[in-house]
Amino acid sequence: MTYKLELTKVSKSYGDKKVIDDLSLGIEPGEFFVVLGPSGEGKSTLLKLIAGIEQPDSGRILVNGVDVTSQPPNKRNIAMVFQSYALYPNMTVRGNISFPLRMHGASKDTIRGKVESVSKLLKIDSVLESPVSKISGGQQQRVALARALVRDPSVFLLDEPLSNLDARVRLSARAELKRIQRELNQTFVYVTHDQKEAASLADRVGVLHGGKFECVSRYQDMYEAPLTKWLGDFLGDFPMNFIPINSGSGDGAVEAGFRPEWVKVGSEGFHAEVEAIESSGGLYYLFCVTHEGPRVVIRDSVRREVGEEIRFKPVKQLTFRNGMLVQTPGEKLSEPSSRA
Amino acid sequence: MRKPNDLNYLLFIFPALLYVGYFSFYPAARAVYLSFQTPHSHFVLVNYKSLLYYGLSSAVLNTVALTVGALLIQLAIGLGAASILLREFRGKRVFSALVIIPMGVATVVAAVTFSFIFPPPPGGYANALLELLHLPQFNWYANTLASLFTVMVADSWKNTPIVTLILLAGMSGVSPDLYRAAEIDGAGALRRFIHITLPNIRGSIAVALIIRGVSEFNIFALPLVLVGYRIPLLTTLTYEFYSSASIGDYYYSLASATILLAFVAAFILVVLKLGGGRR
Amino acid sequence: MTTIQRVLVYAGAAVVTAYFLYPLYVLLLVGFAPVQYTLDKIYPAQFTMHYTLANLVTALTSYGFIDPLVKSLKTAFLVGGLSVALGFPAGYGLSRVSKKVSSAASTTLFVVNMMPAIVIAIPISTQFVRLGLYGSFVGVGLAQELVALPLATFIIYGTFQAIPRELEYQARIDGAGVGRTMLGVLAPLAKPGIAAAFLLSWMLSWDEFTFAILLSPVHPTIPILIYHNIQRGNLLASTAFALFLTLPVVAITIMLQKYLKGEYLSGGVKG
Repeated sequence: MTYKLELTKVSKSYGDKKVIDDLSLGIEPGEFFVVLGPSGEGKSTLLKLIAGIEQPDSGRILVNGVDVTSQPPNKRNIAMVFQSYALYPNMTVRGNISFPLRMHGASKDTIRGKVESVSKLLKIDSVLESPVSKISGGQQQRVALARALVRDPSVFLLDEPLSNLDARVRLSARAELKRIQRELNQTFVYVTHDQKEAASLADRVGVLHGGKFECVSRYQDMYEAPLTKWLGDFLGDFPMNFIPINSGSGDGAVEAGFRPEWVKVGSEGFHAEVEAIESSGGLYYLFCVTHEGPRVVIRDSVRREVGEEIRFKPVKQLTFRNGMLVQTPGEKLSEPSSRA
Repeated sequence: MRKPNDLNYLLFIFPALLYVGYFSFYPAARAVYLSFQTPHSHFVLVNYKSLLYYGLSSAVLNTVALTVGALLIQLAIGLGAASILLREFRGKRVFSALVIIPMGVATVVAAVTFSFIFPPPPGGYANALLELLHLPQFNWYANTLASLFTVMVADSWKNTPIVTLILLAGMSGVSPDLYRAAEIDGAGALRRFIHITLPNIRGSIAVALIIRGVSEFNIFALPLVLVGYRIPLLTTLTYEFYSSASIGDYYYSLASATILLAFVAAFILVVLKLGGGRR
Repeated sequence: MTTIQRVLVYAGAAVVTAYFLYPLYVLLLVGFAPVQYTLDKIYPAQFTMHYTLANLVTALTSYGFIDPLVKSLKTAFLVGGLSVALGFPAGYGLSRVSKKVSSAASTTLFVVNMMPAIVIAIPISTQFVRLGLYGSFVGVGLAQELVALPLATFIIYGTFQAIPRELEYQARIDGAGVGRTMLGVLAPLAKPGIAAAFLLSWMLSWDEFTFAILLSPVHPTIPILIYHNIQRGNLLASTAFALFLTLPVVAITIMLQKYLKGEYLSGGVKG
């Protein structure tokens, strides 16, 4: 059975600090939902609210339409994997994985069967009798995952479960996690600050900012057309470039936004001087200062020198008015030639 | 920070607080209240007035003198022992175990032992040592000051370990870089101790002095065994009245206990003031 | 270290060791040497080759030792048990509340630790008489707990602070209620701290004098038995009891060395 998770107008403050602010969200049954955001934006708090570790100041949390807001964590039937894995250090791998089953009063045979099958699925059946302190970091992560998978929870919550793994292990663990979620067809809520993780795992991504979702959609969509200037700045390896436009009309600040890869370097467009260069896989990211003042990052396939004068022209651009995306096809960028 | 949760967790602390409230604060308040009563009257100072005739002032004086003296001895030895424990040397493990042994020895056992070392004249183990070294004999109870000094030495034996451990915790917190810098600047061991160690462990010294100071005011079993009621202290005076069968004496003991409590309360206020400023 | 410093360290260590060990040595000497070499002499020898167990055997068999021993044991186990029963939840709670609340609560406990036993015991004694607790091990234990509880709570508090909160969350999410989380997950992890708190409380009660003599003078614990025998001039008997009292406690003290830290001893006060 798969479950739908809904949050309606949930708020949570610590002292004077509003961490979650009137947040509403619906997660579909079987969806892999990723909560993305910079650290300190209340991502973990959101998971704790769903799990029942923290109580919201106001608002409701519903699982398949049933209000669970006032239920304690042990009654919610939700599974969670913490960033630190939170393995019970005094127990073996088997003890850890079987713990939730024991707490839910499963029979000995059921426990044995389920523990064996989930540990085979995650390839930790060979270390079942080891103390958790004696196994590798990657295995510990699997044990934490196995402990969540071993029972049939309504929702899986994962709080940066891969961030303590080294880069190579992380990649394969990521793929495996996605495969497992597909097979189980269960509802996952996954918190991360890593955009690559979000992009590769999520059906939908919610970007948390200021206690609210700045945007909820497919990662690629919000990357291509960020709804706000903040979002354009936050998403991507490099922030989106912004250049003020003379809009003529007096209704606020208007800016053109473009990604580093949306430009063509050549003989027309803006004049800029290269200040620094970062190379990555045969491509070069040029950190430039335009003659008009704003600094930009642009991508080029040709190696340049620091101090070199270049010209570039966005081939695709978005318009932002007062920090918000203007949805209609972009206004013309004012030609720099008038000033050059 | 998390106000709603505090309430839940406070429930766990509550039994302990209830316990100390009922068995400690309530009786203490009752002692103060009853000390102003007699079997026949309420809210009178007669108990306190009578105490003045039974040596209250010398009890206060002796208690203060004993406290100051014992603190000085414990601080001196404690500083020495902690400085030693801060260094690495062969046998340090054994030494650090030895240093805390007196903590585990019951006060009354310390009292028995020191009554053999410092018995009323003539003789005893200490005087036997002096004789062995051809030094003059000493009457450990020749006068009030000598008696108090004898009690101080015995008490310091048992309580220096606590002072040592507190000072050691403070010294361990001083950065070794400070010592190295001073050494490069040409400061000798003594100067390093005076100019770096002491100022940096001021806090620990204050804590040790306060904790031990309060305990010294409460010192009871040792003087009771070594000097009995001859040299009155606030505690032994209180106990003398308490153990007498007369009901009037029971109220005197409450008055005397209240004065002791007043001194301790003053100490506690100093602690809270210091602690409050630092938290 | 230079050679001079090294010499100074060893010399200092030797002097301090002598000061701390000499009284224990005297106690052992009086306890195990025939009395004609020790207390019967004005200037007893600092060293002797004559040893006997007679002092101890006589004292332990002919001075009504059993009742005080039983009483001491019952009291000490009561105090140890109370410390765990009250200190375990309190230490846990302290580690989970906000800084402000925890420092207020630990200040309260610290004040209790400073409260003079004699001041509390006098009014308590009349109430215990009324409740039928005067002279009983329960009465003595309930009072002695005041000395032990703050220290026990601070030790357990420190232990819980070292246990990540997420383990507790995880247990709750995995379906354990509050009670099972505490007993099934947290208690096993806090075991060393709880054991230390129990032993330390046991030991404080075993050694305690003031509450014991004020609240149960007629049916004494061992420390009071020692005092009574000094009063009556039975010095050898009191020495034997003193040795009996001391040996287990010295062993426990050395075992607990790790927990006898300046931080705990100074309780709620920070330097």
